[in-house]
Amino acid sequence: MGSQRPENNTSAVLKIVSKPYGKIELSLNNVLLPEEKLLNTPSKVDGLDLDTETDLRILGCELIQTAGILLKLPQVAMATGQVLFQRFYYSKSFVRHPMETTAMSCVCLASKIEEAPRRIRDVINVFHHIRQVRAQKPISPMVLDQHYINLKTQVIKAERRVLKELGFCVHVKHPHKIIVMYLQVLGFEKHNGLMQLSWNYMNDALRSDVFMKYDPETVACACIYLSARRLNISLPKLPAWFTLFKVTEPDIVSVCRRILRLYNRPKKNADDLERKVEELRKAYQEARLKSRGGAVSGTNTPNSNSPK
Amino acid sequence: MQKYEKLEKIGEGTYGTVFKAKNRETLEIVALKRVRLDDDDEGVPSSALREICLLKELKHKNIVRLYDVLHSEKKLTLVFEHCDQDLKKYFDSLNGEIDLDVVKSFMYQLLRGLAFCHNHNVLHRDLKPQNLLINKNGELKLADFGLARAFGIPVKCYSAEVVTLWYRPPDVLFGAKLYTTSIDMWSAGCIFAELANAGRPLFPGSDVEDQLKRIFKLLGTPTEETWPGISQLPDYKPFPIYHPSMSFVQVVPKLNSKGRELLQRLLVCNPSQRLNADEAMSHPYFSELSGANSNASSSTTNTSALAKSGGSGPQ
Repeated sequence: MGSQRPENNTSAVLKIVSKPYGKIELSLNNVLLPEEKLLNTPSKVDGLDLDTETDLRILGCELIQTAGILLKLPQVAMATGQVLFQRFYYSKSFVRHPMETTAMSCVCLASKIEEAPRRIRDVINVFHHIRQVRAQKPISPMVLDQHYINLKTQVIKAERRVLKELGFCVHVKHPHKIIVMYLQVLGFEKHNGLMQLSWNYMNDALRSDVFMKYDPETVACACIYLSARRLNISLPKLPAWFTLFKVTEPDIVSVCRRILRLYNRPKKNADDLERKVEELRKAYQEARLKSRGGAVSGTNTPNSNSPK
Repeated sequence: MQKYEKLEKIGEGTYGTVFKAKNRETLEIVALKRVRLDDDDEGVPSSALREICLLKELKHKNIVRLYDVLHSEKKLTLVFEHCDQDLKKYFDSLNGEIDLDVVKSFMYQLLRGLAFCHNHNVLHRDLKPQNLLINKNGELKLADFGLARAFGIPVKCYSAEVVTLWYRPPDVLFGAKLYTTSIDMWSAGCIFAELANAGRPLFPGSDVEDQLKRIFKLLGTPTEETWPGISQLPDYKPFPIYHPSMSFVQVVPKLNSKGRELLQRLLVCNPSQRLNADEAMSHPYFSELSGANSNASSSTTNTSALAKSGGSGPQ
């Protein structure tokens, strides 16, 4: 740790001196979050109830997954995109940063990180398509007008904001690969049912908060655990198979609970969710305008280039 | 930009201009690499993204250190540890003479940096003297990870400077798509020979064909026997069978026999038979160096050796 000293010095100086530049914390220790951070999210501070926030997270992740399929991205890219999306909203609020733009930027970013880059234009087109399908409108191509240009600028800005908030820690350790490896170790690599079901649970788990709370090894074990139970497959008990991967049963059970909770949620209407956020956004913007008249409040986020 | 005072332009990197600058508070000298972010473009360039991601993880004394990333509307600025010069400029200052202890020290440090990268599953893929930085203490550091790992090897840089072929291994020149750590080991071999010859490049080819011809004239043309699978490579075409006409004594006359032996084990056409970085570091050529290998003492010998040779340069 001693070798990190110069970096810490400069960061301390930077906080005082530089105004137009946001500080980027170049470290990996913000990858897993403590429980209180998972409960007291920036969106909650802005008045968004936890239920709506959870639904927005699920919706955003679904969008990233669907867009990724339409863009023919590898599944690792969708996984990366969803993890980045989730992490971002533990440091920024849905009220101030529109969910769909962030989701688009996470797809762009993930496609670059996973070496399957897609053009921003294609990403915007695909999201436009999804929106039309959802609204059951006739499908028509995106018109390349001023609205499109503005949207593209917004996506580029959102991409930078995500990078900055996450301190460029955008490498996601891939849980899917871990599942394959673990099932090989357990001698089940030929069991297609178990492999596929674990894989499916893993994809769904991306919509929950488990990746903020547990390392991918634990999540992988939980997906295998859930699948084995559902398929009535018995895995070694003495000693328990997951001890081989240094994972404990309470953690596994906790992850399983968080994943299973997803299936008990009724599907929400995307438009209703958007309306709710829109109301809060208006209220927030009005309050901001008012406070601009008076003294600038110091309670805002330290981020200097907050949204307009 | 209040925090850093820009001093001078150092050069053009893969995706932007590099400046020398001074931290106004600490007076520390740093290198600023600017990445322009055009709004009508595709966002943060993937090469910059990769360089930041990789360098954040690669903390080692023989790898240039990324201190900070500054972020503004129009650009990203990467703040790097500053080194006085790169190996190419160092060569230019030599007048054709180099201390053999410096050769050994630089080569060892190059291998140590590479070993660290390779053990972290990072390939550099664009090693050349311009990408090796040297500071006053005689420390050598790998830099410019913009091409590391991803995205195929481009023919042209952003700055319209053609990426040199001189350090490319024959497998890559024949279009091999599957890179392994062996790609960097070939480049390390070329740089080793260049070091020993005080900056005269070993294979200064003008195009792919000329590059391969120069390699085969020295090492002999590889065949299916010496390199199984060679004719299956995407861009393979047969070359005349050259037989090595020059011995390594003629190629690197100043290098001792152990050094020549190491060089020969790095410059092997068949990538699967090239030494890896860890093996190369434990080669007998370095045995004297590792005899005094407690880091402090080895770095003091480096410094004095460098100071000596630096003194013979112009100024």
